[in-house]
Amino acid sequence: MQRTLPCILIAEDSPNDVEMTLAALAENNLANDVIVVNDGEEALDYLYARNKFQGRPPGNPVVVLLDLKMPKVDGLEVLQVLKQDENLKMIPVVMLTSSREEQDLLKSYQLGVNAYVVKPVGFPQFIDAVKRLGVFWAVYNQPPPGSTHRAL
Amino acid sequence: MDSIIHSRLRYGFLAALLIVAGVVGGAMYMMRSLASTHEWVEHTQNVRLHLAQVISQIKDIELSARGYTQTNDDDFKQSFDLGRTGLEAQLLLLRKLTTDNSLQHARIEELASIGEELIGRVAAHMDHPPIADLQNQGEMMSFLDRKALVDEARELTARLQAEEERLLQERLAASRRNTNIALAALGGGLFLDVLLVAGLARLLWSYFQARHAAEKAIRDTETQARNYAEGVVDTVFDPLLILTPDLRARSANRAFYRFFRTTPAETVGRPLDEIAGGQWKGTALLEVLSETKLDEATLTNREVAVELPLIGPKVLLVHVSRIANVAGEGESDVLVALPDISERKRALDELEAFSYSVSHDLRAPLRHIAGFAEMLTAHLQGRLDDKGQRYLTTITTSARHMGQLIDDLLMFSRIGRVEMTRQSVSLTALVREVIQSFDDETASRTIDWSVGELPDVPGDVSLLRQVFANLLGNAVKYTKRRAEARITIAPADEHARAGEAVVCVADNGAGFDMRYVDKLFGVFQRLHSAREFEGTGVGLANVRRIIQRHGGRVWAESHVDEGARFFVALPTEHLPSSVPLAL
Repeated sequence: MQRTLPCILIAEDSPNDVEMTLAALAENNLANDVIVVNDGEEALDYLYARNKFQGRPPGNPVVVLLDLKMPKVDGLEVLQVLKQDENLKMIPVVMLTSSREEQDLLKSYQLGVNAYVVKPVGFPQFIDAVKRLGVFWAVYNQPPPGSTHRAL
Repeated sequence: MDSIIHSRLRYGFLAALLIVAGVVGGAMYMMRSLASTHEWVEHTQNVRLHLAQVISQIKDIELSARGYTQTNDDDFKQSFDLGRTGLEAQLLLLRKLTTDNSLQHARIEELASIGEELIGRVAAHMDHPPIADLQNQGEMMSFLDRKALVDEARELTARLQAEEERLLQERLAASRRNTNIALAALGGGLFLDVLLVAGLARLLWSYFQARHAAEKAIRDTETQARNYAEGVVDTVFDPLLILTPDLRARSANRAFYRFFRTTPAETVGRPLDEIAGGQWKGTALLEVLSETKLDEATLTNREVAVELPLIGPKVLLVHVSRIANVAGEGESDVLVALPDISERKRALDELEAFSYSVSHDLRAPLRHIAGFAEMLTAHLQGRLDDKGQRYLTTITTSARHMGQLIDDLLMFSRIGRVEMTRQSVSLTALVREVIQSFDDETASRTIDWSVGELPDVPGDVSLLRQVFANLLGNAVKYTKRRAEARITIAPADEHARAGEAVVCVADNGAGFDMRYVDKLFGVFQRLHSAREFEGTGVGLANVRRIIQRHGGRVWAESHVDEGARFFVALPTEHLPSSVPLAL
């Protein structure tokens, strides 16, 4: 089994959430395939391989998990840029957020999000949700060509 | 009223005219009758005159005979001839005068024959030689004969005259009688006419008085109504504008001029794009107003954001409706109300930002508390004593409770804001569906559900589902100590007002103290401790909010330990627009 590049991009400003998310993914041995960025700007930097991600190995993540509310550039803005870019619009994007506000849901789907998951308050449910997400997008879903898929 | 007076006047004047015509006709008839009486008087006088002449001629003839006898003078022959011609002429006239009266005519004929005989005798006498002796027997005889003839003629004439006199008196009397009757009739007619005309004049007078008073009353009422309407319109805090059918400003209220910082001179009589000094030019407001089909003219609650050069950005709520114009006839005017909701809008935006922030930021740390407590439990697996385990459990359940509170609160705020969709909702089906959702929860309990025949009401199905989920959830919760719970959902239309349907949810649970019924529907208000019955105290507040948004009512009755009855009254007719909820 050959380990290759990270395939899940997580944009999340809360270190606690990052830790809990990684703990959940670890249960499926997916933790090492994850790259975490702390805000929307970094997320875009990674996707466009610029600034501190200049010269990163090429290829798109198989899925982007976006928090809605982040400093500088928020999740909806990242989503908008992504879905308007010819090279990036095929990347599956999942909103992973605390907000179940109708307007956020509406806006996300209008911008072309692929899934919208509200972070459950209960820890077991949270773990469960993230595990399922990781497995679905990183394992079962066939990503578009050009993704840095985990080599099996 | 008017028509009665009109017909009275019409018939009254007609009657007056007829009476006047009658009086005039009567007068004419009387004049003619008087004229004929006068003719009769003349006639009688003529007859008498001619009769007198006849007698005088007869006397002349007799005199001439006697003179001739005594003097034998031929002059008497001449005077006899004169007398004879005169008598014949007079008799001819008298014959003519009495043709209409056979009695008098016969007498005239008799008189004529007497005259003829006298003439014949005198003529014969004249032919014989005159005898100067009056003692002569023959002479004496002829004289006496002639005297008898003259006397007879005199008597006859007297009779003729008397008859003529009698006729005259008779005619005069008849004429007087007729004149009196005619005068009485004329007088009566005139009197009646005067009365009638006076009555009509009075009727007309009172009619015009009443009409005048009515017109004045109408003018007064109009003025009052106008002042009243203007007062109301000016007191209204929202800008109001009245447009003529061709969309020019007819008038506006004070609030309008104040809000748009303009004057009547810049507004009244102007088309839409010149109103208020042309401020509306190029704004969405002008677009909305021009596009509105003003012949149908109803637009309500249309939110319009405008950027006005004088007063900056504003959000207006546009209402357009038709109103009868001032004259009350012809095409109706258009009333445009433009309440400024900028402040309300801002407050609403802030509230949304607040609940958004609560939704996102408050839940994140909570999730972390719960998550890390769980992770700590896993991390210390086997190394935790009972006390440590209990502390961690308390942290976890408290976090979960707070999460529930936040969720309920968000739901409460969302209920006031979400768009409502209206459709016909079968409450029977809805209630059965909600009961089914409790199946898992109540599998271990004995609950006797009873659902009556509930009405269909217009409403938002998901909000109404939440109402019954809350009410039935409460019933399930507060009957949990009963060995056999009884929950009844039935119509209660004996409590319904007009246009309402009422549904009652009754249980045999713990009930509540009616002293605190006012707190029952308040947010975070609980009548039972969390130790007795779990809950956040938001459910019934949500119920009331949803029912209020549907334009309905909700209330409850209970006694401690005797169960509770919750009543929900919903309008059965579709309301024109959802009832806006106060913030």
